[in-house]
Amino acid sequence: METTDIPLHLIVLIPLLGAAVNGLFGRRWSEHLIAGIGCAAAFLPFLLSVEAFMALRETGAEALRQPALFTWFASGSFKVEVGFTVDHLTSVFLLNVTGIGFLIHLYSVVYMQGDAGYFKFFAYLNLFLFSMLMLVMGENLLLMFVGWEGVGLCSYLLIGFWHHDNANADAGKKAFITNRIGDFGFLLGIFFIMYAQSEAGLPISLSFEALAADATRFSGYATVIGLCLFVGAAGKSAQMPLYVWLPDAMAGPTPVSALIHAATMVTAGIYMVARMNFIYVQSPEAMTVVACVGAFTALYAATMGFAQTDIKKVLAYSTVSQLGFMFVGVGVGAFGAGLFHVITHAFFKACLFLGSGSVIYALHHEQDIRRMGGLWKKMPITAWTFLLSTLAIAGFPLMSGFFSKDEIMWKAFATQNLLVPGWVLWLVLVLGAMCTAFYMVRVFCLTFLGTYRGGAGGHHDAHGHDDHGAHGAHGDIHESPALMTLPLIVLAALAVFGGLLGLPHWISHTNLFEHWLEPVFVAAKGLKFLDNTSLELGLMGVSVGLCSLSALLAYAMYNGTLQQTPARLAAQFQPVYTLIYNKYYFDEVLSFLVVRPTKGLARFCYRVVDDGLIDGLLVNGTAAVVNLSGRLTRLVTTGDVQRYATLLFVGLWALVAFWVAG
Amino acid sequence: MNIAFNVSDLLGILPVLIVIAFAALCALAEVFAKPGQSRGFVGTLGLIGALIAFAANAWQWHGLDGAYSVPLFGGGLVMDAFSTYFNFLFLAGTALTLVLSTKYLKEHGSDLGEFHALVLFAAAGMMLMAQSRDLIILFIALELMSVSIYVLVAFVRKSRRGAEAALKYFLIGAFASAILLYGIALLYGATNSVELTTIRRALDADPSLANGLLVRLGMVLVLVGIGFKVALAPFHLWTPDVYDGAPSPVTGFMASCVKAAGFAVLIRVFTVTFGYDAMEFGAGGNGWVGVLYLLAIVTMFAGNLAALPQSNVKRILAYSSIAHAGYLLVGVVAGSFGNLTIDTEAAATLGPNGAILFYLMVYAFSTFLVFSALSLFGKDGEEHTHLSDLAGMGFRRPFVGLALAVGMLSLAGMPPLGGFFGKFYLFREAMLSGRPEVTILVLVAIVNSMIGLYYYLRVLVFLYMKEPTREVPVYSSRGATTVGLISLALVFLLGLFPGGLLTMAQRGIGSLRPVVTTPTASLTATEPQTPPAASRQAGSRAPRLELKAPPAQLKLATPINLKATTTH
Amino acid sequence: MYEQYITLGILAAVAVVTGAAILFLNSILGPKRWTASKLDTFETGNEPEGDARQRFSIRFYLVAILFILFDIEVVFLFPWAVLYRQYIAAGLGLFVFIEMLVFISILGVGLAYVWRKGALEWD
Repeated sequence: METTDIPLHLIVLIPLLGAAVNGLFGRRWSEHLIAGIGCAAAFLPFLLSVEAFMALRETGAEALRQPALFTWFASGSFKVEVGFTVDHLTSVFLLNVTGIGFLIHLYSVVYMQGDAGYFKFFAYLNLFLFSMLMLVMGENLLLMFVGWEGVGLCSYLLIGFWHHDNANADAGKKAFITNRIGDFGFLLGIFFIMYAQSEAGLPISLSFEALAADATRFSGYATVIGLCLFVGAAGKSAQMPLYVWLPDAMAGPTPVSALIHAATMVTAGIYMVARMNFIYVQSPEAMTVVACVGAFTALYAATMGFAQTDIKKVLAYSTVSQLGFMFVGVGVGAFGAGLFHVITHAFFKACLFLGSGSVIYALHHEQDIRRMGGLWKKMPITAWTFLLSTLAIAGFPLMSGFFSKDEIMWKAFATQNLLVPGWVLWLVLVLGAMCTAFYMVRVFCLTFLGTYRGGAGGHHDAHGHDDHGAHGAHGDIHESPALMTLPLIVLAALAVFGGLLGLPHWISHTNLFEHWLEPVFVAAKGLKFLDNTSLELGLMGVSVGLCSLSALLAYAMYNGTLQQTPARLAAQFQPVYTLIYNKYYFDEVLSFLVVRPTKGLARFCYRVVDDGLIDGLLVNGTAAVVNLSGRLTRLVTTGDVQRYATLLFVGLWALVAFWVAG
Repeated sequence: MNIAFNVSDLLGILPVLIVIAFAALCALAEVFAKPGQSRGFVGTLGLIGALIAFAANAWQWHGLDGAYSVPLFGGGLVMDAFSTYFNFLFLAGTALTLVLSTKYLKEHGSDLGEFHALVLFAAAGMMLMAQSRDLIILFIALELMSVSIYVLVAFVRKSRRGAEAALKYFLIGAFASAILLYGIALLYGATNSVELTTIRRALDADPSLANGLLVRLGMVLVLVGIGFKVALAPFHLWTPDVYDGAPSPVTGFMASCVKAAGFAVLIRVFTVTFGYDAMEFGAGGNGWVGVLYLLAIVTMFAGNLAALPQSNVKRILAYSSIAHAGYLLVGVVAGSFGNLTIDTEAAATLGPNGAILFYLMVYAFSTFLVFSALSLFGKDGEEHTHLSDLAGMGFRRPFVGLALAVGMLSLAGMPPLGGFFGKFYLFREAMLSGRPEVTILVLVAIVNSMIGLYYYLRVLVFLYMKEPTREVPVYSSRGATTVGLISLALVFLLGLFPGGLLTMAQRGIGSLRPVVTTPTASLTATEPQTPPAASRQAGSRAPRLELKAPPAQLKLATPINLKATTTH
Repeated sequence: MYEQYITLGILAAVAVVTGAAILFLNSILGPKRWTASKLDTFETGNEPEGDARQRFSIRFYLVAILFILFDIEVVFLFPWAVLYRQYIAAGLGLFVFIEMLVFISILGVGLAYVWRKGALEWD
């Protein structure tokens, strides 16, 4: 533990300041000024994060901390302080959040040009950064929860950013409500921790330091705590069954999808599970649930990617699926592998989203891949970066996604910590990876290869907001401006080379990334994995081979010799296709099972409780009281000074009588 | 009678002297200024005076040693942490009133320097009320305050309602003053003294005297006199008319400072001097506390219920101020049962009386927050403070709306605002007294707080949920904005970080303990002695002459040794 | 304890009863002859002129109030002057002198204010 003179709190506060300045005063400012402030408020924290990272490296300390800013509240011996800590895990997230956050700020400068809510957008983005940084830097669970709620709020605000369209506003609400369900689990988890502490006779404390030190002393509650917290994580990170909000969240502006709904916020659940690793490692049950839910989501969401036609929806399901991979990683106890995938996924998925944004921007808000195609020539930078990221996510050898995904798959196979055998998980994940390779290649082919299918009149304004007047007539498709392509290039480079950070043991002696995180996962040291390099390489060969096959198949079906096949397949397996196309009717099932009963309850509350009890008794009762007291007051307060004086003396004599009588 | 004079005694009333000097300066500035000249500078002059006095008061606060009180001028006045705490309140209130009123007076065509002089004179009266330990000085101080306020209420010449309100206030106030004076006379007749310390000794020495007719009658008359000033039901009837008719800054001044001054007197004269356990008459055998108990209930209901149908914000606030007086009485009752004067343990905690001190401060700033916004509504002697005048103001003038909304919520006692913690500490400390009848009283108070929500929130409804129906003149003023910002900040700060003020309140109330001084009060420092353990038992009706309270030396300066004793 | 007041009480009672009796007997026994001049307002024998309820100028009140103020100053000064020697003897001379100086200067401010305000001028 190292006290540092790097102003850690500024990392959190600068974005807040940026949000406040832009939000309060930005309405009348020029776009340049707003963008400058917004980007600066993302860049300065990035510099500070780098500094903190370097300090951690140089001192070799486990964590940087500073005296708490102030005590938030205290009740008896239970005290919650507002303080920020940067340990190895946090430093990774800091660089990820601020770095990618800054790139996406840059991208948004152009992407959002001309939007009436320009200042609002940057204020929200900065507010999001603030919340996210609070989430990863807070020194205790409650601060993390504050950040957790903060990112939820920002996500809601940004999904519904173009809220004059009802669908967008509904999507925002859906995200918010689904997340609330998860948050409830999170809160329950916190309460169980406090309960467990008091049962164990420990002082109640929610700081991570104390929790990590004492976790073994309330291990009896590890399962229930772990499961409750995982409900929260599943809500935020879009796992079964709470994933439903993420595809709809694509209603938000594309930079938001890239930043919040791909690179950072949705990984908060993984961060939380990793942060609470000392709880999970004590409960094989909880770990099994995490891993199984993750694996199932990974496959389930990937299959839905087949039938989607909205480019962003495909990417959204892909995100859900990739988050499943990450949960398998942390669920099987390979925290380093899971987090490594968080980082590489942030690179290539942000790149993919921004690339799709670039396409959407060029096509004037066309999002349907059936009306794209042939953009390779017209938008070379976008196409190249998109291609590289596609290869990365598909797990093409030596790309970043290859290393991180295969690490997870191997660990899933090798784990001996769960209640299910590892090969089951592995099988599910390989299927998921094949699907991923397939639908990603499909999207790439439909978007960039072949011929343009949009036509001159293809423009339809999906968002109903002001069109960008800045760039030419319809049909005149060209590459996006430099401020948009620059982030693409940086992210694509990272997507290609990012894997070098975490080279597996059969290439390099130490896995830099996992080694860096080791101090955080001391508790996970006791977990057992198979150790068989040749088996590992063999399995990898199998998965790479299968993925390549499925990718080639996709290429053939969407840009090669088998172009008729998709339609035929769809016709032949009509029921299956419809099922997938309609996302397994999951929304409908959920609606029937959850939403309708809730509505019924609401109607009951409205009719009986609200109409009857509140309106009848309270509201009308209040009115009656008001009426009565009005009449009484009018009797007494006549404005007649003689009467006032009389009553003064009546009161006086009453008191005297009362006094003397007793 | 022994009278000891000491020039250093003047330092004990330094803030009062400063305020009076500046009041005189303001009056002179008014008459020596050019006829057409703006009188804003007179307000600035008064503000400077209030701020200097505030600084002097802070100096006294730091100079005062812990919980001890320093008698001045032979015991007629006193300087202790209690009075100094209240002086902070009065001076802050005065400063805010002066800042708030400069533009108001111009808008209403009454830009006269006398206003500022009168506010300062009233402040001097309040400060002397908090410092007096002699019923005659108390009466004079009260009259100094009252007469100034009577004039201030009618200050806007164009306002007919103001004139009417002032006349009503003056007439009834004259009755109340007479009643108070009569009570003082009766007490003098019974105890042969107007000095609180002597009265206390006489009451302690002879329990039959304490329960005699003269003392009973005297106490109830004094109670009515003070109760009139703080608007206790049934002596509150003037309040809505006067609060409504008075210029808004003056209403704010009255609601915050006049009320606080009244409660300062109530605590010092009743809780501390008259005490509780020598009294065996009255309902329940609780003496005057039983009467206050009844008044508390009546006042809370009278204020809250009568506020419900009101449609004028200033009248709502008038009834709200009555209700708040009722809540504060809960503290007075609990504090009197709590036997503040003997229990040393109690002195180390806040206690209901300390909670009153805290409450009054929070209430003052909440009130100023509301009036900083409310005073902007109107022009030329016509104030537009009907609820419908506020419609939509939350959006048309966001800051005005915010000030009103936050102020109302604080008055209603919503967390995390200061008003919530005022109520919280008051009710909690009252509950801690542990007497079942006080618990009932607190429950009544909580029910009343809930009733109160209705009319406070109604203001918010009009601010944010109604469409404006007509154009209302609402001016802007930098002064009002300043007052609003300061009050807003304090209302939030006192809610989020009440610790500092609580410590101050605790110290203020702690200084009331040594009420009885030795007959020849000397100004030499003496070690405080702890009272014998027997008398420390809370609630015991033991004789309580053991109070040893030789005051500590006033740490302001080396006393100029003019000390002497004359005998008349 | 109250015995010595008995005589006083009797005297008071006799006085009240006598007065009341005379008035009462007068009103039932005395002859009543109403004439115009008897019913008229008594103004030291002169013919009454105009309405008795006429308005006075506000200036009268102002002058009266100012008179009271400065009158009281004298009332205060007088005992002070009488006792001043005793104060000097007690060593409080300077202090009491300063006290009075303060009092008079406040009054002086008041006088200056009233003067400049024009309250001392009739018009």
